[in-house]
Amino acid sequence: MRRRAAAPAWLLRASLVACFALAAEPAVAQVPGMAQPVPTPAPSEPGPSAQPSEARGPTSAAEGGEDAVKLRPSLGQDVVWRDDWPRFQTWQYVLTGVQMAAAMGSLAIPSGGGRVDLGNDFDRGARDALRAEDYDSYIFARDLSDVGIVVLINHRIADSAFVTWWGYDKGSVAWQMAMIDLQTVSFTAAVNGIVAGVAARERPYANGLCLTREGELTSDCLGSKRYRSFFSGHSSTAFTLAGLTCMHHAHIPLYGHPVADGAACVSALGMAGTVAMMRVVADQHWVSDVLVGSSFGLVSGLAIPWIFHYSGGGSMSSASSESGERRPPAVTWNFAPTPGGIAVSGAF
Amino acid sequence: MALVYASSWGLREAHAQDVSDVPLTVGPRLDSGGVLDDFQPFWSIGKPRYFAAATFDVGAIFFRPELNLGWGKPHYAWGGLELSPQLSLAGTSTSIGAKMAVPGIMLRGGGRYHVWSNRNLLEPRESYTREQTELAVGPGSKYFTLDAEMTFDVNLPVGALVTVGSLHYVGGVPEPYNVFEQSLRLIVKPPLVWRSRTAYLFGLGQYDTARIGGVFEMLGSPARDEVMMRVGPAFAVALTHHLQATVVAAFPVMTKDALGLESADFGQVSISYRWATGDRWPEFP
Repeated sequence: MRRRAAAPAWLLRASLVACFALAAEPAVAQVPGMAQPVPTPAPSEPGPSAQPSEARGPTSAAEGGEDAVKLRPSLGQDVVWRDDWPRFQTWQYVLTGVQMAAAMGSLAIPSGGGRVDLGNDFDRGARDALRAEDYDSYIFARDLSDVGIVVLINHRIADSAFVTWWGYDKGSVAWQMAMIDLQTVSFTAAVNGIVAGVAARERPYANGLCLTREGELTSDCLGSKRYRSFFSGHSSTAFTLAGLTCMHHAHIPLYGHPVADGAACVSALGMAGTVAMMRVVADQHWVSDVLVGSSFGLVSGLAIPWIFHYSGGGSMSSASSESGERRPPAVTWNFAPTPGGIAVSGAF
Repeated sequence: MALVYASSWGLREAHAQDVSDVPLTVGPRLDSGGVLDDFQPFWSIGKPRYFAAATFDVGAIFFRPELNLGWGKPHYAWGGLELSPQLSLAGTSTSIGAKMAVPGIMLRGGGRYHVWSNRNLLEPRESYTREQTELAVGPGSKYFTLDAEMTFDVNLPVGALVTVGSLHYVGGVPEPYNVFEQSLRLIVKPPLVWRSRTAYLFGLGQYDTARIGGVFEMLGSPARDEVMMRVGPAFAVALTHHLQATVVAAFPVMTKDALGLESADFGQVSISYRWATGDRWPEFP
């Protein structure tokens, strides 16, 4: 059983800044950094631990009892769901279901042949500069954006299932994280689906691929997908997932060290940025679609877990040790307006 | 279609899942072929009985429940009926069939009806590019398959070996079209297609609650003279007796088509939850 190294985070303080030119409404928010683990006992894990072990088969005493046979390793005890962090409530399960239904239902919104014309020189100039020149590059960029989404989704599931549940043996913490992820991603997907369906902005490839002999008969050009450009679902989802990764790692030391947890956040943001960029290169979206989607997604990914859960724990800067010693944050995040959009900076 | 994984503890159920897939990010991952199922002998506990059971497999973005009605020990050794609808953003498919599982062997036969909203049947060609598979000129992709499948799992001194073979009759495809078979990610000229998947996995941890290894897969469409080979890693962990997470990636290394990732599975994680009547220690999740 390996416990998290007790290295004081403030001695390891280093700075890193990741700036993303997100042309969104200027906003300033401060997300507290990783909270120090509080010496509260981990919530009781779900499972049949209360049952008599002798009646449960050779491996069934997985989670309880002195004689319990552990099904999983326990990497440490610092991964806890603090008592002052509200747990997922019944209404949130209902809301998440409604959001998922809305996201699916939005696919039925008729395209209308392009209701919104947001054409502008900025979008056209960026498209000319960035889009793929040939079909193979177009496919490559589109696939890469798909792969990026899968990587980000897998990262969230891996953090919950593989790291927290299996590695730390903290099923209840993993469940909370997974449900927060589901609630947040379904919110982003629902809003994106409705907006994209209602706006029905024509995708940029309508003026490229769809004008070619080989492209005009593809499903991309003939289907309703052609009119779901605003705003980018890939970008919003990717940045939502990245935001969630940052929030979870900022509050729960999943990787056991501030640098590792900070790296998880930064790499997720980098992957999300790649996904967003590839949507433009693949001619799937205008730059404005991607910028709005990225901004919305990032705000969603940071704000929803914070408002409904992690804000209950107070900020890292106010976290104190049992002795009353005030500890500086292990990880902090800052958002500041810039002339080009929003600058996101983090320090650990 | 399914595969089964064998535990290093001993004989275990041959648990089957349907192999289904749809385009990247909007459909279910390529089925693990069951190679990562069943970590614990939890389901071997109890007496044989009439039961209803289910496996709920979810991922990004698909939902694939499998409902079983039968006699025996659910999810372990049993015989009965299987109903498995599948939902994803790319379309739906529904299968019904009969299945029999005893430790080490699983047999399944049945039929599945597929409706894929993002696909069209393909005009015949010697080989296909990605672009050609995305042409929306043929009829919509609606067809049925009749499936027969057999799974064996063998425990080795280190790790376990699982082999699955399946034969499928593809019907409902008008002449002269071919079909991109979403479940297999293979372009098929009806009527027959076959698949063979072999997996080697070994356990991690005291009770092998994590499994890691690789898969090697061959698929063929005899009427097209096409044989595809895919290889890739696989990993899974048992979270509870009822819940597990799996990830399988399989990339084509030999095929005459140039479909890129369209014919691959690049490793979406899925979560599977099991339920059955008569479970003495039900738990959620």
